[in-house]
Amino acid sequence: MATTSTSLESRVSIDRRIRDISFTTFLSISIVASLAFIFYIIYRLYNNAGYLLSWDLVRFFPSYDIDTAGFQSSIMGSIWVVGFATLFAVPVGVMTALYLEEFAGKRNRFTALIELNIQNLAGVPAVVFGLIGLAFIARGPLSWGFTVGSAAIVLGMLILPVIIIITREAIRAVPPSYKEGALALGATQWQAVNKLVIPSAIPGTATGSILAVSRAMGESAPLLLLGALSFVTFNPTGLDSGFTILPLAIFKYASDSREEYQVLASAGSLILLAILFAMNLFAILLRDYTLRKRNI
Amino acid sequence: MFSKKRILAVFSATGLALSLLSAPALASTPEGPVTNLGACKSRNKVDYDAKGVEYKCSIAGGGLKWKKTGGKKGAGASTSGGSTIDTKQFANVSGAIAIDGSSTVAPLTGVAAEAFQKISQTKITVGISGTGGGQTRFCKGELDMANASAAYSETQRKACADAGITFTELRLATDALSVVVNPKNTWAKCLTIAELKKIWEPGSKVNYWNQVRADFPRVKMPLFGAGTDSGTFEYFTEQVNGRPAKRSRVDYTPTEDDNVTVNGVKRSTGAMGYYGFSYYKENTDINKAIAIDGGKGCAEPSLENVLNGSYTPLARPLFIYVNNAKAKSNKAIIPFLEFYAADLKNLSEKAKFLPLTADQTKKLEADLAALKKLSN
Repeated sequence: MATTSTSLESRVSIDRRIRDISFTTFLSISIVASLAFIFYIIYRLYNNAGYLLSWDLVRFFPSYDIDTAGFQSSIMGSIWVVGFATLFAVPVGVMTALYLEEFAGKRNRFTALIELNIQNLAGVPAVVFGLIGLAFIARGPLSWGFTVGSAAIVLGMLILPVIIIITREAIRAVPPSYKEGALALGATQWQAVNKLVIPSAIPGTATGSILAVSRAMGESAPLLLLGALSFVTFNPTGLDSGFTILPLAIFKYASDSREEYQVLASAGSLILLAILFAMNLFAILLRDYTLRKRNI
Repeated sequence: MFSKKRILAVFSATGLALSLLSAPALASTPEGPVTNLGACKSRNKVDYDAKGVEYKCSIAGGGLKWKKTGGKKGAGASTSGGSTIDTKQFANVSGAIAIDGSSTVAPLTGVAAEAFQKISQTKITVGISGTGGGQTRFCKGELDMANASAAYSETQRKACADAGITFTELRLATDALSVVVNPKNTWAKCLTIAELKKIWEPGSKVNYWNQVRADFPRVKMPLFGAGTDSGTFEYFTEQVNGRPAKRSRVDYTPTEDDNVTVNGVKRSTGAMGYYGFSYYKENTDINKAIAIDGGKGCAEPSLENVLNGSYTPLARPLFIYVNNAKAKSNKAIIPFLEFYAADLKNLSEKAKFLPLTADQTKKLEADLAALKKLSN
């Protein structure tokens, strides 16, 4: 065994080994660089505002009095808006993906058109969704105003194409033999999808959806157009309620003339990062858990 | 592939790196004691000095510092605000009020909204999309009120009228639009409006201070000013460059965020910029306001000079516009405005705005009474 491996290694030319090593080094440098960047940002923020981290930040509402200024209404606003966006986008997205993959039949002009649109929508800048929301949801036909409901629909539209694409990938990754076997044994299309395809596609779908939702959490441009850049000192009470969101509350504090509010903005960024890290960690653990469960 | 061990390893490494990085931060932040006070380490911690005077650990500048609250040991928590009005009458007022508009006026209305929400059950949102942006929304009927740092123009009033929206204009405070330079600028102490016009008029070729006045040094003059959608820009250009408003040279740094101006002026010896008085009050250490001669002699932006009328023409009125129909249907609006007007002196002081004169206060009370009558 040992002898064969040495003889194999000796047969690999020096040129190829150098290429191999340099490529690995390049990859390591890339990962170190990207991690260093993240750590640098966290370090700067922590250095600026680490001493402010306490429950007071979450407990206090925005205020013009620095001693009682915090982020409660914006954190709750973000949770409401992103929560309803998720309730709207995930079921619709998953069902659309299931239809396209399992029930639409052979590729025809209709499905090709839908696919093209979804691909395009995923690439549309976020601010365009904000403009659509402003014109058709906040004003125009729906006239829902600058409310939690309008914002949730806009963010839902924003992450919908991403969820559809991710779910389709997850469904495609399920070996076709599973379904074919079930069909051959007399299962109906629905039984095969329900019992075999969906359970196997859950890990990929769930992680993908959480990543899409955490993107919505950090998104600010579309909601800027929906009046989220406001001084709001109350938590949302319903879909018709006014609101603000964490990224824009940070922006508002950062653009204040007083230096102490800029420190508060750094503290808010740390909260936002913590929330995003927690969501991504949850996504990883969920994938880990569902994969292990399936493999048993 | 993603075993628990691996995830644990990644996160413990992250934690380790963070704690290493945070070590210098923790060592450097706490401020030393003022007098017999403990370390100021956590926000809003209260301590007393030898005489029993209360201090609170507050965010100040880049760190935490002890700040005198004025309270005494044993006197209980110090009450914030110096409001003199009876707050119980508003306890049952409820409803939502949507306000948007000028970012200059927003701090004043924001302070009022914050105080009012504490004594009532209302929900008030105060946006900052600029005088122009607020006017657009106001004239679409989306807002109950709109803040404005310049009175609505004829075209703006017509846009509201065309949409069938009638409104009441209330003057709330006065702002002294401040022209600022770098503290190291020792030569420019007072400029006339004609000189400001020479600098800011469309097509101006003034790039060095000696082009303004021959005895000024030849120092480059970077310019910072308000963005074109703001009432500040509208007012400044109208007063300095003349009617019609909104004509200005274009080779300057326009911004809706006055901090850009503050920092730009701070960084360059020859820089000049302009913004509202409350911003100047917050930044007197890094920006210096120059006196303006508008025909009544040199006057610096100050409470005194605005009240006696010598800071002209850059002292400007600040307004809030109220949708009359909404004032009738939304029962939260009139109580809020009554509170706002009654507590205005205290609120202006808190938000660092210049209060109204006795005559202007009378006018506000009369306008408000008329609106109240209208909405009954």
